[in-house]
Amino acid sequence: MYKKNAKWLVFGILTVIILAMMSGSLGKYTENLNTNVTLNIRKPAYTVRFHPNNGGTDNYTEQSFVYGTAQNLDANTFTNGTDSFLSWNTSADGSGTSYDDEEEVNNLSQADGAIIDLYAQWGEELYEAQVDGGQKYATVAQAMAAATANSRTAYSQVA
Amino acid sequence: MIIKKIIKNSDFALFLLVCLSIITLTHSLAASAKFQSTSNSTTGAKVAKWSVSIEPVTASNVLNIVTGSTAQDYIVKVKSLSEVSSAYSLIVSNVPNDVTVSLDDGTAQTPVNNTVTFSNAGSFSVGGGSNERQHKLTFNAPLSASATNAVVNIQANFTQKD
Repeated sequence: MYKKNAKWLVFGILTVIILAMMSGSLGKYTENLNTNVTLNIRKPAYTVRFHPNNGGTDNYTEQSFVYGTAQNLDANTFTNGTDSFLSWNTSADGSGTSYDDEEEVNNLSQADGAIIDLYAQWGEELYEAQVDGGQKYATVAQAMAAATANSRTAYSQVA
Repeated sequence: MIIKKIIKNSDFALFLLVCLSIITLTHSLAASAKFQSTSNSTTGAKVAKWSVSIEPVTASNVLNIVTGSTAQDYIVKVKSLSEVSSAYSLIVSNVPNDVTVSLDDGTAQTPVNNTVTFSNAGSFSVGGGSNERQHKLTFNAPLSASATNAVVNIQANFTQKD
């Protein structure tokens, strides 16, 4: 008899507690409303501008880059009389940062829309690979590449 | 002695519980009925209207963000034509974890599980002040952030205050 009453008592108390809790929330408006916006997130893009720097018309060419993505510089297509192309440089007089032809570069600028000017550097060829009968190259890297391609490791400095 | 005997009486205990339940339920239903949503009631009874909204103010719903560059703002308008006071929070979800969000030029917050929550973003009082608020959400991606497209959800959670 007491056990039965105890069960009713517990049931009743729980009912009152639940109803009491509901009384605080019933009649209260709540509403969730939404709107959406699309975020298009991209890395900064910049342009490398190649200047012939050969005393003629500055008919530069351009190459696009994205920050964080390594890419090879375009191969040089300019000429300057009998001089050979040596390298690119951020200064026309060669006093800036130098880059080899087709060198892989990355993060030349963080600024979106920036333009990086590179000026062709001209002169006599400085290096030759000691493998192919006097073929000369503008840079050590190019001479080494030619030597390596012929299973050699040597190159010599011409000037 | 008599009281003790009464309390021990199971019928009385049950009766007491039933009374308490009826009182509580009545109170609950009364509170509920007070705020049933009917905007054109002519009964004269106090019936409240509940009308809230959130909508974009910024014309385009696409923000172009360049990492490491200028942050982009998105403005939303929160409105209440309700006859009861309300408060709301703003929850911005599906935010890339490397993008920060700030509300009304406040401190930039980093998402937790792609969600930024601005609790107590604003409130409306009946009969006082404007019935709409504009909020500026500013999204900023550091240079190291990943390039991606994300549809961000801006949710306003309204709760009746009184």
